[in-house]
Amino acid sequence: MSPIGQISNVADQTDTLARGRLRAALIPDCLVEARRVANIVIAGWHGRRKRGTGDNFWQFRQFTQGESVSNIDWRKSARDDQLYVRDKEWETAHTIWLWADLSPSMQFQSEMSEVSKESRSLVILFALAEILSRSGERIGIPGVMDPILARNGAERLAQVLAHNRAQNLKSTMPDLSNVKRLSDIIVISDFLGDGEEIISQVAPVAQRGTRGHLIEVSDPAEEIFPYTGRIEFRDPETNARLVAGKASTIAEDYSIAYKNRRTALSDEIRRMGWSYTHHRTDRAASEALASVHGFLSGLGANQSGSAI
Amino acid sequence: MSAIPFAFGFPLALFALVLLPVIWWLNRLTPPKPTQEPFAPFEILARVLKKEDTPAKSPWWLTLLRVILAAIIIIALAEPILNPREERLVAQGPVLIVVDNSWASAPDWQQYQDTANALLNEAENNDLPVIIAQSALPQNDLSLGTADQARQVLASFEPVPIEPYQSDVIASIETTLAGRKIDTAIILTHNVEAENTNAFFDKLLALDPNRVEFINPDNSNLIGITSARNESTSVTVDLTRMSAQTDATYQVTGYDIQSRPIVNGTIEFEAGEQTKTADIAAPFELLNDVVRLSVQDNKHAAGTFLLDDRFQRRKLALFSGETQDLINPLLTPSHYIQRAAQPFADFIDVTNADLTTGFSTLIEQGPSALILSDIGSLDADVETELVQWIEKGGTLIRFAGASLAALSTSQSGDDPLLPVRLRSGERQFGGSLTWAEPKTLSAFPQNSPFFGIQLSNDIVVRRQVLAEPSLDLADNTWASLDDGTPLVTAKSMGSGRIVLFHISAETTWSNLPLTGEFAEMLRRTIALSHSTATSSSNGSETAQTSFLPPFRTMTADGTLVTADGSINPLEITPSGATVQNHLTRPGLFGSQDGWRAINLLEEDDLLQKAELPDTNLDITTSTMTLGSAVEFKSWLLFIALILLFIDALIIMFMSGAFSRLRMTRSNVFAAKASIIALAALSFSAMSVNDGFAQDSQVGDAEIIEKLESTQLAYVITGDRQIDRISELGLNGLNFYLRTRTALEPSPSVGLDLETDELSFHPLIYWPISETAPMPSKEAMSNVENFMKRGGTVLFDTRDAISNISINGSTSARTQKLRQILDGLIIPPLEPVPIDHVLTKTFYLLDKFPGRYSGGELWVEALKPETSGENQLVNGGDGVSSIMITSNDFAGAWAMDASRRSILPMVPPDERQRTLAFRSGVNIIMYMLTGNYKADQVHLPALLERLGQ
Repeated sequence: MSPIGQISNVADQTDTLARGRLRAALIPDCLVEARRVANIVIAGWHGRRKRGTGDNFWQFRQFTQGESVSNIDWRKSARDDQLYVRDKEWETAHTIWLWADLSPSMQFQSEMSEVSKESRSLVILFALAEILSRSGERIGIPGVMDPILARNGAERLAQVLAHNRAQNLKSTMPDLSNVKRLSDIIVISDFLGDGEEIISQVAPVAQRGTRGHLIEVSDPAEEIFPYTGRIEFRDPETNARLVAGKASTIAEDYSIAYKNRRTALSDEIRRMGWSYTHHRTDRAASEALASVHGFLSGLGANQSGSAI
Repeated sequence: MSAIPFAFGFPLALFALVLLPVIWWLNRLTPPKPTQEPFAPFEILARVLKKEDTPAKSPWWLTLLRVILAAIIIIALAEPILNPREERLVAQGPVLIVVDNSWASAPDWQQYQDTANALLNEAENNDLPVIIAQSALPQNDLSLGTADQARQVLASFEPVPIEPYQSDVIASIETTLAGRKIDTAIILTHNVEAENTNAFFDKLLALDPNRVEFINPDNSNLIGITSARNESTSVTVDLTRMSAQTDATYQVTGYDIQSRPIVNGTIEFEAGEQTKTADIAAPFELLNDVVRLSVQDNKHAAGTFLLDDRFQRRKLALFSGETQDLINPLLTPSHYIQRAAQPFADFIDVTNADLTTGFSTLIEQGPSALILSDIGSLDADVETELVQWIEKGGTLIRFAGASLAALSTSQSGDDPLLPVRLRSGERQFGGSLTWAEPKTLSAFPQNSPFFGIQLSNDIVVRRQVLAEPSLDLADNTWASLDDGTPLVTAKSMGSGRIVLFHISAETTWSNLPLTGEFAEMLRRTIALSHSTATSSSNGSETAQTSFLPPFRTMTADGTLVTADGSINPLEITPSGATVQNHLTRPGLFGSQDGWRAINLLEEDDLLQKAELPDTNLDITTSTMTLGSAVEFKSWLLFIALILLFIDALIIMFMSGAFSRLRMTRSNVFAAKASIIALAALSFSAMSVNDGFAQDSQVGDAEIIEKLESTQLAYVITGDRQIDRISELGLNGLNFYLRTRTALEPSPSVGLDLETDELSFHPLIYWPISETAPMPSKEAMSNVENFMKRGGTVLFDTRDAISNISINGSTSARTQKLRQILDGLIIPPLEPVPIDHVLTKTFYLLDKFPGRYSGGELWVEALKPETSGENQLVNGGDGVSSIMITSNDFAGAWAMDASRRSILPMVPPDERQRTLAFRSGVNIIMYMLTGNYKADQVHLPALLERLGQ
């Protein structure tokens, strides 16, 4: 009888090269999937709705004395006696740090879901990178890639990850000491590690005023606990083993504990002004993306504010 | 033999049962292996999962199940047997074993072999000398040897499909013994009574053994077929069976020569019935092909009955001179003949209805009789062939009709295929111009085969063809009217016969075809005929014994195989009876064309138990008990397998497989649905491809092109001038049709009658040229088919002007036309009558001029019964298949490219040309619409009736 869950590549923890190669093979697929998802979300994207420097047309207004003459739109102005200036929509480069946890526990995939948590995380990561770099944000990965401003940010990100530097993304939370005040942080992980530790890492950064968004990716099997009968559970991180004689009897206790953990963590995170999104791998990736995107574009700021 | 009929084949294996406690202990110790699952939220789980008491041991009932499983396997390996084979040979001296290898041993032959082998084993154990012999075949090489030698001899025995006992066998045994005495004689036999059973047993007992033992198989379900007869729609089969005690149902299947099952029937015996006669219903077409009838599940020679052509029904071939009347098929002579003859004869499906070409292929099918309904003169070649066929034994039955009546006296006198000379024309009673009453039949004369048929009084004959008086007319008359004129005449020719009915086979001439007497007369006539295919063997009926070679021979299990050289030919006495002895194998003797069937059982044979000889010797009888030894090994292993399966289910249940199944069922369904859909899709894709592949054929495009529009055609005569005029003429008519009517024909084509397909054209214009070569036989056959299937040929002699000669002799072209039409079956013709539909189809015309106006247009004469009193228009139903004119239509119609007429009219009257075109239009419309216009002329009357 085949087990319900599996670690998508249970390769040697030590064989970093092989793991890197496997992940590099995963990345292009995720990138393609990410493009697709990003296209779904971006359809509802409406810019900053402010005048400013940018590429997109915003409005015509009358020329006022003292402005640079080079701003005059001569084609429009030639139509009547007024002089017009073509205003552009305000676009400002904003640094957004992305982080995806690629630790062994993320490789878990049950038969109830079509992708592993790791794969879904990468998809969300790339999709965010795609959307953000298209709208002119600077994206970076702490400790892996410095922030860059490029239209093809997602591709650049994928290249960096593919070149065997992804093993740096092993911890749940990144090293946030370099993060500046006016930037956003998006962390994708299963947040199954120690909750206290996560809070202690987030707290100083949040106090500095940096906005952050945590996306919890979980497998449906972790939430529903469909196991019955005699089962030996194994921890993918530590390889510890535990035998349950009748797994079905502990299902209820387990799911209470599991949900408590999430509630505790998310409450704490929200209290610090950050957002916390939960995403299950059997749902569409665009759901998580849309919700995070909502937070980013200020839509959810009020909501998260009210949540505090 | 122990008190309890139970033994172990391998008792040592039972010691393994000692191991059962160990198995118990091991099982309790090792719990089932847990499923391994990786689990990411391990820490949360670890917090929840306290030290739970996981079962370190299996539950006791699971252990018990496994111990029982092990015990069953051990016992099975020990091979327990119920009713183990008993020792039956209690002999001190030489042993004689006689194995009956006759027909009835075939189904149980394995039992015979096994029993004999068991006996030989015992003899080997006791070191007894053995003679083994088979009872049904004479043997010369018997020997008194060891059991091992006997075993080899036994292996060479096989059942043969003949009667059981050969007295020679005992003689051979006696010789082999050379004075020594037998201690025990064992006879393995089915005890079916046979001709020489008693003689055999008496001789056997004369050997004076100390002990005699009969060992019989259980043969109570033996059944045999003793005879079979062919009824019109069924086979009647007589069966006899061995035991009459119980109800029983048997399946009887009929096979053809290639052993394909073609008929099947069920026969039910009730308790107490030993013989049974039953019918197997089957379509009569199939019955003639049945060669072998077999009882299912009785694979022996008596359960199979072979048939020969005495069983077969007569085959008839029917040719009819009438055009195929598809509108009124129930009024045709063919219909009456077929209905009358079908109960006792089969009609060969005449695929080529044309007598000229179809005759030789027909003869190959070996009809008993040939029926010609209203066929006048025949092609000379066919006539010769027919005469030869009749002389070889064929029967020709002819019916009169309009065509036959049209033959002139001189023609009918020369015709060898008529039994008497006929007068031209027919005699009619009771018409409007005759005072004579319709005649009735007089009683049949003594010399007639019809003698004895009871005649009813209401048979009347209104028309008949008359025979010329002659001296032998009375002798040749089988039936006559009450005024003495012959109604049925016959003549012998060679070993065959010609019979002529002086009436037509439908109801306009007399009401005889409606009566049962007609069917009876036909039946008696056909009964005189015999199958011509086997007449060759009839020819060898000389005054000496003849032999038939074996054709197919029956095997012991009742199937037919090709005979090999070991079968003796069948001896036939001068009287035609077969010589059979008990060594004659059942089978078919003769050749593919005709054979005699020899069967094991004869009519009225019974299957009965043989009486044991009455003697004071020690005789015991036992049955072969081989089948009753029950071996439990396989059953026990099967039970063990089931237990193993249950165990696997329990293990799966305990590890939670089923709760998961419930969860993922929807996924499984989705997957299944998609697989089924995919399969269906690919299948439908395949079938679509097939459909395309079968649809188109070579030449389809041309056929479709030809069918797209009406196309007039002319016959290429070979005379270039005439052909050009024909083409231009028809194209001119096409032009006229296009401008005046809704018909838009495509350009006309010339036809080579031999090679071209005629059926695409409604009308073929055939200008007669005295210089053109005569059309070949194939060409005329094509034309005849074309006319029979609804096409029309318009003959044009183009000689209306030169035809008018002082001495009244016919012109060269008219004579040519007569030559051409000589081979065809031409219905009576008449000039277009004034009420003919041709005069009204498009224009109202009273004559049909072409370049000349003197000639008449001749069409098929209307059937007299339809030319009734107040019918305005006739001939609507069947379009005339032939039209003859001499007015040179094509000459009048011919136009050049600039629509100018080419040939002048005679007399030069352009009005006449217009009329010529109108004639053409009327002819074409008549061709294409048929009776539609005949209905149109009733329009005023119909409207009046409707009150408008």
